Amino acid sequence: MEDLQNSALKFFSDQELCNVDIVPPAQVRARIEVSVLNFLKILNASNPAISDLPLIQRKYSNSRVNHGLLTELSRVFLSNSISTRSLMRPNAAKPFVRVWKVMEMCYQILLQETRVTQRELFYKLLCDSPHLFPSQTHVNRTIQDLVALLRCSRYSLGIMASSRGLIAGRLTLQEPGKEVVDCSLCGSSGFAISGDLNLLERLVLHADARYVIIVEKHAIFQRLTEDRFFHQIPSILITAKGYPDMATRFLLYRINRAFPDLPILALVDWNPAGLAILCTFKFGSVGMGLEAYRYACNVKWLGLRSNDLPLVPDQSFVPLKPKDLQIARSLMSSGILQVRYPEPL
Amino acid sequence: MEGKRRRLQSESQAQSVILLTKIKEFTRALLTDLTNGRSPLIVIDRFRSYCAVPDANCFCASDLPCGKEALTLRTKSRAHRLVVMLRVMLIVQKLLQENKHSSKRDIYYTYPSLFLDQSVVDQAINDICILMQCSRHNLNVVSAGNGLIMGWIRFSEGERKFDCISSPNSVHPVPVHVEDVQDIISVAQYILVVEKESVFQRLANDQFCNTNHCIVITGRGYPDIPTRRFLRLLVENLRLPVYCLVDCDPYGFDILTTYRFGSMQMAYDTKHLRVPEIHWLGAFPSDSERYFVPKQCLLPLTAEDKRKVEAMLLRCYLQREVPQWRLELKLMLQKGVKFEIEALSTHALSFLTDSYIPSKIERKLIM
Amino acid sequence: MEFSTVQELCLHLISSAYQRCRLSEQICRLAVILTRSSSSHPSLRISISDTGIGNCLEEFQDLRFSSTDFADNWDGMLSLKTTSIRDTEIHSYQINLKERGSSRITRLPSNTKNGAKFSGSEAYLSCFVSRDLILSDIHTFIQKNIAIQLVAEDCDVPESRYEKIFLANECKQLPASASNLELLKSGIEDYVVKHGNNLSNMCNSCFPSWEQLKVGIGVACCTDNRLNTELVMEAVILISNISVQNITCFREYDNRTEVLYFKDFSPCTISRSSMKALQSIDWKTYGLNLRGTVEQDGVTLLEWENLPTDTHIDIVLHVYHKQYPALDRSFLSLSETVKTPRKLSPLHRNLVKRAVKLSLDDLKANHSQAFLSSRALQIRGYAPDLAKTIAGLILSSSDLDFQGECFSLLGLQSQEVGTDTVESSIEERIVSVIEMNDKKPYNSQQVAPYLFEELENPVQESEFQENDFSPLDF
Repeated sequence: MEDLQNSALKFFSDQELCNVDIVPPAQVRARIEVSVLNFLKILNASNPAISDLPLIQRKYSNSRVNHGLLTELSRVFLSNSISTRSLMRPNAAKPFVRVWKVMEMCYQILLQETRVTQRELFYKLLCDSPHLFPSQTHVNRTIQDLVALLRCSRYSLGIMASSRGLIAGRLTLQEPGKEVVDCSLCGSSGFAISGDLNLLERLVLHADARYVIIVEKHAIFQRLTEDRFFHQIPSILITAKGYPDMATRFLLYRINRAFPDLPILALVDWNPAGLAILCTFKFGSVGMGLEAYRYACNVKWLGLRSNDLPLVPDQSFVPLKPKDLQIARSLMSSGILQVRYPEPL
Repeated sequence: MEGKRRRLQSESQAQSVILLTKIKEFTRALLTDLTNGRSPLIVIDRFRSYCAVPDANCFCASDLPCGKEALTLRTKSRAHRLVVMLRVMLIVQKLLQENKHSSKRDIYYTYPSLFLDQSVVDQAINDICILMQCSRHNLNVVSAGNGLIMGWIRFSEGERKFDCISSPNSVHPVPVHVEDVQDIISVAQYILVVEKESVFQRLANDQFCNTNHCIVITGRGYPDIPTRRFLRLLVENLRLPVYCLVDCDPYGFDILTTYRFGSMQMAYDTKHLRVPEIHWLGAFPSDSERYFVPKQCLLPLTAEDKRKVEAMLLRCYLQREVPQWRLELKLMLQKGVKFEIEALSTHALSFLTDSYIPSKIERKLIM
Repeated sequence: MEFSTVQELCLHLISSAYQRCRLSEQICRLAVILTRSSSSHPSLRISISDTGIGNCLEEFQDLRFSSTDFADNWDGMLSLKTTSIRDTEIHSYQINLKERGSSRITRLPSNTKNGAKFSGSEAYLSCFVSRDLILSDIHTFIQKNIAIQLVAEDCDVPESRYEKIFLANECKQLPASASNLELLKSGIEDYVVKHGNNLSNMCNSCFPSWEQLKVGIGVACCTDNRLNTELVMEAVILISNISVQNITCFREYDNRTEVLYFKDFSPCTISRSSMKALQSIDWKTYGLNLRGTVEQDGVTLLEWENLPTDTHIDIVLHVYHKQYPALDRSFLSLSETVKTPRKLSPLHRNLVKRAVKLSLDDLKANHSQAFLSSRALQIRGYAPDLAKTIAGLILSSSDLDFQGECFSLLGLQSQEVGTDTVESSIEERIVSVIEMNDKKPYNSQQVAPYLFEELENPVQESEFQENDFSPLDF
C-alpha cells in the first residue's frame, strides 16, 4: 500500500505539481543562502537586474484535483503557475521587500536554533520596519509567500505551529525514550496534539482500532470520549475543533501511513462549513498554502449526509447565514467536489 | 486509592441525588400553583461581582445576592425565559439521571428553534444554578476545556494520569472534570498564569520550566470554567503563590480581574471560581519604560478601549482591594497606549524566560 | 496690424529687427538711437538699425497707424533703407502708415553698395513724443531680450547722452555661431541667476557656480501648411538649487514656476493652447507633480506639489517661423490680441508638448538621479531596506564560504568589510538598476530574470494583486 502511494506520488510529480516538505534547518538556511547569492549574481551581471521572486500561486485557478490511478487517494495540488513579486512594479514592491525581510528574520531564528510564534515575528518586524508590516495579516501572508518561494513548510522556517487538535481512543503514542501515552485513558479532554511536527514525526504509534473518526466539533468529541465510544466501536477519535491545523492533519496523515487499512471517516455538521472542513482533510486547502496538500488522506463522509436528515428533528434546523452561502459557493466553484458531492448543498 | 475514587464518585452521585430531589420539589410546587389556578411566580436572586460606584459602601464582596428577579407568565419575554428554563431543566434532569455530561452548545442544539440563541440557554443555566444553589458542573453541564498546563506537577483525573513532571515543557490540556482530579503532587515553587497560548508556547519553546520550578497554565484568552476551577483547586491544595502575566491592554486587564475576582456572568458562583491570591506579574503600563518597549509597539488605545478602561476604573473591587492595580490602569488611560507581552521580546526572543519573569518574581516587582 | 502709439510701433520695429538679426545667423548689431536734433526742431528722431537679413516690403503691407490721440504727434511717415546680402544696392522707401492703398509706399532712389557684401536695414521716423516715455518702454522691452545697444542723445543739452548696452549673457561667452536655442538657453540662465533680471549681476549667494543649474533643451518642428512655412518650438527647462541657508534673497514667485513665452523673438503672454499643453504633460514620469496653474499679475505660474523648498524650476518657450517674414501677422503680434486661427491650436499644443518632453528627457538623461519618475522614486525608497536586509542575511551567516562568495560578487576585500560597506555597496547597485530601468519607457522594460532559474518557463504568469486571496484563505 505504501509503495502504491509512492508510485502515485511519483505520477503526480511528473505533472509538475508543487508541494512543500518539512526541511531540516540547515537545508532551509542553504536555500536562503542560494537566494542571496542568486540575487547578488543577477544584480552584478553585465546586464544587471533585480530578480523577480517566483511564487507558486495560491489560488483556485492554479489548483488541480488529482485522482490517484492506483489508489483511492485524491487531493488538490497547486500546479506551477507563478505569481511574481517584483520590486519594479509599484504595487508589488512592498510585498517584494517583505519577503526578504521575513527571510532575514527566519534566517536569524534558524541560526539561533529557536522558534517563534507568528505574533512574535510580527512584533519583531513591526520594530524593524513598521511601514512594511502594519498588521499581523501582512506577516502571515508574507510567510506564505516565503513558503511558496523556498518550497519548504512554515514549520521549517522556524515558526511555531500551535495546534488545537485532540486525539483519543484505541491508540498509544510513544516518544522514543519516553513513557507510552494511552489515548483511551485520556478522559474526556483527550490528548492534546503537539504543534511540534518533528515530535509528531518521531512518535511511535500502536493501534488496535478498526476506524479513524474525524470529529468536527469539540463538544461532540467530548461527548464521544466521555461515552467511551471508542470501546463500543474500536476506533481512534480525532478533532481539530473546526478547521484543521497542520499538526492535526499531519498526525492524521501519519496514522494513515502507519495503519493504511483503517478507513478514515469524518463526522461533520450538515452545513457548508462542515463540508469545507471535510474537504480540507480530504484534499487539502488552497488557502493554507503549499504545504496543505502534503497530508491529504482518503477521508470518507460518515455524516451528517442529506439522507441522515430525516433522523433529525425539524426544530434542530437552522437557516443558512450569508457567510455559509459564501463558503458553499466557493466550494462549488473550486472543482474539488465532483458529481457525487454537490447535491446536498 | 480505589477507596478515594469511590468516595469521590459517591460524593458526586450524592450531589446528583440532592439536585434531582430539588428539581422534583420545584416541579411539584409549579404544578400545585397551576392546579390551584395561580400563575406561577419564580423568584431568582441576582448577583453581581462588582458595582460601578467605587466609593459606595457596597456589599459586592460578600457574595450575597443584590436583588431579586421574578419570573411569571405575565409578560411575553418573562414567559419565554420561564419556558426556556423549564426546558433546560428537563434536559438537566435527564443528564443527571443518566449520569452524562453535556455542553451548553449541545443543549442549545437540542431545540434551536425554541431557544433562538445560545445566550438564552446560558441565562437559563445560570438561573437554574441560582435556584438550586449549585455550580454549573453540578448540573452535568460542562464546557470544553480550552486550558493548557505544563510544569512540575502530577495528578490524575479519573483513570487518566497527567504526568507533567516527566517532561515539564510539554503541553497538556487542563482536565474538564475538575471534581475528579486527585493525587496532586507538585514540586513547583509558584504557579504562573499566562493570558495567551502564544506566550505559553514561547515559554515551552524556551524550556522555561527547566530553569524555573513552576507550573504554567493558560486559559487561552478569557478563561473557561474548568481552567478557573482547576487553578483554584491547585491554589487551595498546593498553597503556592500565583502570578498572572497578561497583555497590557484593557482585555488583558479584564482577564486578570476575571481570574482574581470572577466574571459578572458567573457572579452567583464566584466564590468557587475566583482566585484572590493571584498577583499581577505584568505587563504593567509602567513596564513600557522600565523595559524599553520600542515606540512602534505601543499601539494607541482605540475609542472602545478607552471606554472599556473608564468603565473598569469604576469597578468597586479595584478601589477596595487592589488600589495599586487601579493606579496602573489609570496610567494606561493617561498614556493612551497599550502593548502586548510579545512587545517586550523584540530585543531578544527569550527575554521573558531569561530575564523578565524571573527578575520580576525575584525582585518582587509584582502587585 | 494696427498701432495707435509710436511706442508700440517702435517695439514692433525693434522686435522685427531683432528677428532679422537672429535669422541672419551671424553676429549682428541692433541699434536704437533717439536724437533730438535742435531746439528749433523739437521733434525726436528715432532710428532703429540692424545688420540682420534685411526687410522685405510685404512686412509693411498691412501695417497701419491710426492715432486716437487728439494731439497727433507723428505724421505717419516711416523712412526705410534696406538691403539683403544678394542685393547690389541699398533700397530706400518712404511709407505712410496713415494712408491706405497703393500710394502709401514711395520708392526713393537707391544707393549702390559698390560690390560690398553686407545686409541690414534702418527704419527711422520723426515724432513729437517725450523721449523719456519711449526710453522707458524700450528699456522694459529689451530687458528680456538680449544684446542691444540703446543710445539716446539730446544735442541741445550736453551730457544728456544716455547709453546702455545689454549683453547677451554676462557670465558666459557664447561663440558667434551659437544657435538660437543656445542663445535661448544662455538667456534663461542669465535671467535666472539675476533673479528674473531684478539684479544687474548674477546673485553670488544663491548661485556660487553655474554647475548648480541643470538645463534641459528640446526643439520640435512642424510644417504649417497654411503658411507654407516651418514652425519651430524651442523649450528650455532650468532647475536650480539654491542653498537653503540663504533666505535673504527675494524670489518673486517663491517655489512656483514662471513660464516665459516668446513668439518670433518677442516676449508675449503665453497662449491658452500652450498652457493646456503644459498641463497635459505627464510630469510624474520625471518625478514632478503639477498641482495646477495660477495667474498672478498677468503672469502664468505653475504650482508644484512636494517640490523641495530649495529647488526652483524655470521654463522658457519660444515659437518662431523659420522663414522671414511670416505672412500671418498674428505670429508677430506682441500680444495675443489677434486671435490665433482655431485649427492651429492642436498643432501648437502638440508642438509645446513635444518640445517640453524633449527638454525633460534631456534633463533626465544628464541628471539621472534628479528626475526619476515618482514610480521609480517610490521603488527607490525601498532600496535601503532591501540592502539592509540582504546585508543582514550575508553578515549574520556562519558560513564563511558563503560570505566570501558574496563579498567577491560585491567586489569587496574581506578586510574592508563592515556592515556599512556591504549595505551601501548593495544599495548602490540596487539604486542604479532602478535608475537605469526608469530611463527606458515602461512598456519596453525588459522582464527581470527569476531568482531561481529552473522556473524560467512557468505555466502562466499573473500580475500580483494585493487582494489576491480566496475566500477560503484561512
